[in-house]
Amino acid sequence: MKNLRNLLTTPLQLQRIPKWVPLILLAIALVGFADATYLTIEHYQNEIPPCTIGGCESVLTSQYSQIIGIPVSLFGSLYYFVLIVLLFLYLDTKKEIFLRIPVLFSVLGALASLGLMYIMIFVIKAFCQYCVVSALTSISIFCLSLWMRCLSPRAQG
Amino acid sequence: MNTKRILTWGGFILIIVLIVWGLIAAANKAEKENAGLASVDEITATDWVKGATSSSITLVEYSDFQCPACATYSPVIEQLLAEKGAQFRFVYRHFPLPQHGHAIEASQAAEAAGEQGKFWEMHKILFETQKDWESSVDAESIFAGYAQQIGLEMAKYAVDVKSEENLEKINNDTKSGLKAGVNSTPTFYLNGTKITPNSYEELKKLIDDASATPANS
Repeated sequence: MKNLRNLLTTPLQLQRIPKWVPLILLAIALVGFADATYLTIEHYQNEIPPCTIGGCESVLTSQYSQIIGIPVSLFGSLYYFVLIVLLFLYLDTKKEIFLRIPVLFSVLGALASLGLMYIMIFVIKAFCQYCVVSALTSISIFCLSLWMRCLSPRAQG
Repeated sequence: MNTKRILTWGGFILIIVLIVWGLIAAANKAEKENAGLASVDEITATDWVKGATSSSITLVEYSDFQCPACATYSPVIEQLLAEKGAQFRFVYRHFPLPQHGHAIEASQAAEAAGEQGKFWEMHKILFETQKDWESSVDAESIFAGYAQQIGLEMAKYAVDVKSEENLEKINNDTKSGLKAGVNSTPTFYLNGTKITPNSYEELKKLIDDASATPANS
């Protein structure tokens, strides 16, 4: 518990983090945002996006594609949108907190992606390239975040 | 300092607007591509139709050759066509479920038979013999055997069963079903309305009722 609180409260040590990292994070988040938003738009237009490799129809129309009537992709869009806003705030203000929140946030994204990938592979047993792209972006964001966290040792206490 | 802030947030707004605009354009393009898909209350030139082909009463079935419930319904539809075939037209659309390993192959065999005018013959055989091939490792050869049995020209069958166009037709049927909200098989639509008949009598009554109230068109 104490460790967890430490993780939340210990600032990242910005001078140790290479300047390009937040920019790469931003670029990946933009890809994820585009992907998830595309699916959200298609959902509300009641369309199925073109699936070059078979199977994405059954994933995108499955019972798991919605939570209480809201498409999972909309949650994805919002998640990436919040990340993008925070990263822009960071680029603008250079305040550490705007980088620390996305780092913590990325854990949620990675967990959600892993859960959805599990459902896709083992429950629906189909392949949905749009979903895989989103999983890759959120897991890359998580890995970069983890790395930034590791570059900033926690205060011993 | 201020210019930098304006540039940053201007860039932010620009990027978001560009992404959303681009996506809406892409989505509209996809919508146009899907516009050719069949709908549940219309039939297309590539649909398999049986019964009174010019009737205004259309019964569409989304079905899977490997689904046991579909096999149960198949003779029911036969009987209905024998009795009421002058009143309505029956449309068969493919909806192979992912958990049925041979369902797509079976649809391909039916389409290939269709190329030689024997879609319904293959359709009948596939449902009647479902138990014989559902867990076979080599359903393909079994289907080829049926093709021979119904008198297909085998050289043509061998090409058609693998044809890209037929596979695309099957996929388009599935897509049209997904678009209409089909999530299980068999799913029936009578003049565009989803129906769930539990017995032959119920199905017959639905057809009779539809005949009694002429379609608006």
